[in-house]
Amino acid sequence: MIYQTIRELSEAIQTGNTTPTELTRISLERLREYGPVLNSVVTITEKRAKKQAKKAEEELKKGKNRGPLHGIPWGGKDLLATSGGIPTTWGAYPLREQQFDYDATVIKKLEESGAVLVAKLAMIELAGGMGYKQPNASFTGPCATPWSLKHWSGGSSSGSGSAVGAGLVPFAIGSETWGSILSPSNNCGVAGLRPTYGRVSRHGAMALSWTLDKLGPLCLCADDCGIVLEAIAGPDPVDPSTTDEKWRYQPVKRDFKLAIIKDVLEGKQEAVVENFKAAMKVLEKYCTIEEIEFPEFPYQAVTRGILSGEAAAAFDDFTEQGLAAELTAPEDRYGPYARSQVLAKDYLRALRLREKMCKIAEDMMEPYGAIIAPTSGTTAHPIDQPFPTRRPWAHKDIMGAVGNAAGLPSIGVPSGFSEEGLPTGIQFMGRPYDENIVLSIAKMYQDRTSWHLRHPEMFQT
Amino acid sequence: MFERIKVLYGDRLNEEQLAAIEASLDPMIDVLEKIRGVPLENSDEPYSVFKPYRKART
Repeated sequence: MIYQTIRELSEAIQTGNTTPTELTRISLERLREYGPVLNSVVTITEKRAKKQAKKAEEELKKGKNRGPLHGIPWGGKDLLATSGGIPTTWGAYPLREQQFDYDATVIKKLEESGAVLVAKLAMIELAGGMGYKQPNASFTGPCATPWSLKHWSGGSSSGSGSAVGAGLVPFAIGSETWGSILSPSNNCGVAGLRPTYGRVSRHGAMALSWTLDKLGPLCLCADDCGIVLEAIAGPDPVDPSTTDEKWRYQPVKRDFKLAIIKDVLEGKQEAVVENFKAAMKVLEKYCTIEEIEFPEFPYQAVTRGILSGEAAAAFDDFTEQGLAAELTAPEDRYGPYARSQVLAKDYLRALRLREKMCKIAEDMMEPYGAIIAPTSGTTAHPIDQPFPTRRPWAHKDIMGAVGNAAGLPSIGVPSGFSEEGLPTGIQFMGRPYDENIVLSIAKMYQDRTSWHLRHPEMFQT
Repeated sequence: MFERIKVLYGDRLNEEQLAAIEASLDPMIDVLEKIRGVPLENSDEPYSVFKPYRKART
């Protein structure tokens, strides 16, 4: 039952080959055994998990089936509020005992889908909002990719990527403000879907940047991401940013026209480039690919300006109380003070430029199903070393800057491995609300490749 | 900016941290210069929509 997709597990439950309680038992055991090895787990929610699994099983016996997630274990990034005395730490030592008396909407929706919450998963402290410069920026320690304990899982949804990649949970929920789902997707060799802004309610999730934050799934394959997104998407009266429409996962099979940004491979690691070119050859069998060039515009500066202004406000109380001094990464202890000086007029200027940026993106992307690019410029970073001064994902990261400020959906899936055996990824970024398009393209790619079927040897038993 | 940070938070930061903050202001200033370098019309509004709040009728 390890490394089975949600569809496979669901079928196994329906056909009586396994049960929700059995899947939950396996997941809990693996979390206990491997969680500390990877630093991927904050809290194992055993009591709640067993209760939910028992309920799921009883419902099935009575003929009630809530759908493909019924009885499937999952883990949530530890910024999702959970009731019942389960801590929600936001990855930060000073908040290690923080508790909420309600469940985040995503937690509620997955419970309504019959899924079983087995763990709260590790994350970079405050989702990286303090400007961390190394993997060791979480009170639970630096989180490793299951492909090499000497390399970082990516972040800030570190545990979400690592736990799925290690087969501890069939799926997890992460969040992305700028790169926090796609980075662990890349480093851990799993599928990670950043939905359109507003597709998924963020009620009960820690806010880093109100107009940039998105919640999305990390799974073993793109198809599973579609299944999970359908369960968590939709309007929510307590999150005014959510879209009114309900969303159904409906993969389509047809030829797509894709775009690649000129010079997007410049400066990327050799293995990333080689694997990406090989992926393009696969894609060319069912897609046409055209090169496009984005006009000159300070894309990164605009997104950075919005993020800095909102993060300073979101953590103002935390900063003013001096709690940053207790954070794990030394640079996070002083990081908030610089960005607290962003003037209101500069933040608003960034928001005024955002509309222009969104229109540029829409004009560029309108003729295409998706823009393709490497998910990250490098494979996983060594776990015990600081990042280069200019972080690879922030350097000329038009995809990340435009994608997040314009609220565009993007899915990252594995595209191969480096000589060191570390995964590389390819991402498909679509127009707003085109999750079905990017999921379909990624699914078609995975139907023709087997990278997602490879799993790290250490965790296969 | 740095002087303001020193006045507001200097008592809780050591010399090493203050030096790191001063250095970290360069990329921040770079961001702000880039943002300020793009011309905008007076009519270019911030890309945010404010919806007046009113409780739904029960």
